[in-house]
Amino acid sequence: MNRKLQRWLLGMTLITATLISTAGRAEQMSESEPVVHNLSLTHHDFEDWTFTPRASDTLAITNKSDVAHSIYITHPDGTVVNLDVQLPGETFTWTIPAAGDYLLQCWIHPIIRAKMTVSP
Amino acid sequence: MKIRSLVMLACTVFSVHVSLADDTIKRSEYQRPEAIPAPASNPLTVEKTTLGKTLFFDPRLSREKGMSCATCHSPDHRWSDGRIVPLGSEELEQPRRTPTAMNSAWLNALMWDGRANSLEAQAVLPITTPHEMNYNMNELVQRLGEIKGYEPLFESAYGDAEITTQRIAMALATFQRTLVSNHSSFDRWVTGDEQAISTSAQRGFEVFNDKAQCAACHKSWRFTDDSFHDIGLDSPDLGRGKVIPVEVTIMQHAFKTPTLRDLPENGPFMHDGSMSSLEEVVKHYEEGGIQRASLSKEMKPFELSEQERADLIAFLQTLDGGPLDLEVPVLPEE
Repeated sequence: MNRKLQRWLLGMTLITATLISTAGRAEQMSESEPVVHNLSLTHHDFEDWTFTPRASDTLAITNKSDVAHSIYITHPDGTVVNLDVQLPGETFTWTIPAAGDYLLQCWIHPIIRAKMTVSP
Repeated sequence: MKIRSLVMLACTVFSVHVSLADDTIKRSEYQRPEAIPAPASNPLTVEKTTLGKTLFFDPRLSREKGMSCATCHSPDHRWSDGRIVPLGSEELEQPRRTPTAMNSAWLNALMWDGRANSLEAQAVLPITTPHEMNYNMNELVQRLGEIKGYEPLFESAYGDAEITTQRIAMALATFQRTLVSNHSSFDRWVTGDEQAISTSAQRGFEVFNDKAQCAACHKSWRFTDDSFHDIGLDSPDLGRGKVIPVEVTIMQHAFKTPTLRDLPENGPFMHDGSMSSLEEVVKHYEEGGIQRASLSKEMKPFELSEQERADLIAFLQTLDGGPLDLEVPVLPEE
């Protein structure tokens, strides 16, 4: 085998190894990488969602109504997290800390009440 | 010339069409519901309503036997009391006006600060509040048990004559659910009777929904969003801010949006009864209230002409369905 061919084979081996290793990492990341879920808030409700939230995912909640809201979230252990005030058109985020049942409510509009079950 | 006229005519027709379409959409948002809601755990029945009505008017529900629910939620005052400071609240530092009991079947947060989440939970609060009826439920159960006339009423309502706190609360809640505003001229207009309200009131409806943005909070057929807002009144009362975490700034000085149906002619208006005319109320909203961190984001100052203000008030007056047709019950004898 001449030297040129040896170098070419070595180069191809390295490139292939790199590609395989990168693909493996990507697959690994897609399994555990947190996801951002979009959620809409109307005048008096959260719109229905179809996604399955998991721990460490983030909710990006957009206030699609024309009034302000003041969302707060009750954690499975009873801890309450206040998300301040959300003006019309604003998107705010909340990262889910752990699995369990959460309750999403609004201080201004008590009729807004949504239960969210989060998988591990 | 002809072409210009045709264009102008087309524009006018188009704008009238759009305006009518908008108007129809807005009107449909104020359609009355067909039925009174009730929780599955406490369905509406005639027998429970009869018992609840009797209890509601019975002053023996108070410790001194001098005050009934109807003392402050009187049929003569649209199920409120017409007073700036309710009876018994004279010595309180921050008294709150008596809200109407009408249309309460649709409420999911009761009291000015929302501390009760059902009519059943709310029903016992005035009975046990020291400056109101000042009684306790155990003694009340015993007292009612000694009034023979209540026996058949409880039996009809629940199948046996046992008296419990829960049964008292359920009956009171049931009766209150039947206090529903009569159909007003506005309701007839909403359902298509174009002559039911004046042209001034119709203009007022537009002001209500558009320029004044009253509908941001006073929405639905009951003209309330059942929510809580600081409307910038000069009052030290923290309202809902007293019953929820202090860091929720937006709820400081916030009170429940009251209904605009069946308003008393001369008030009192606002949670503290501080205003006695609708002109005063409208001007308060025009000015936008006290600027502070908790002020509702829906409080945006605006300016109305004299005509627009008069139109708005003419509209509000079309929400009056008049007194309910109700006979005061004969109280059971001991």
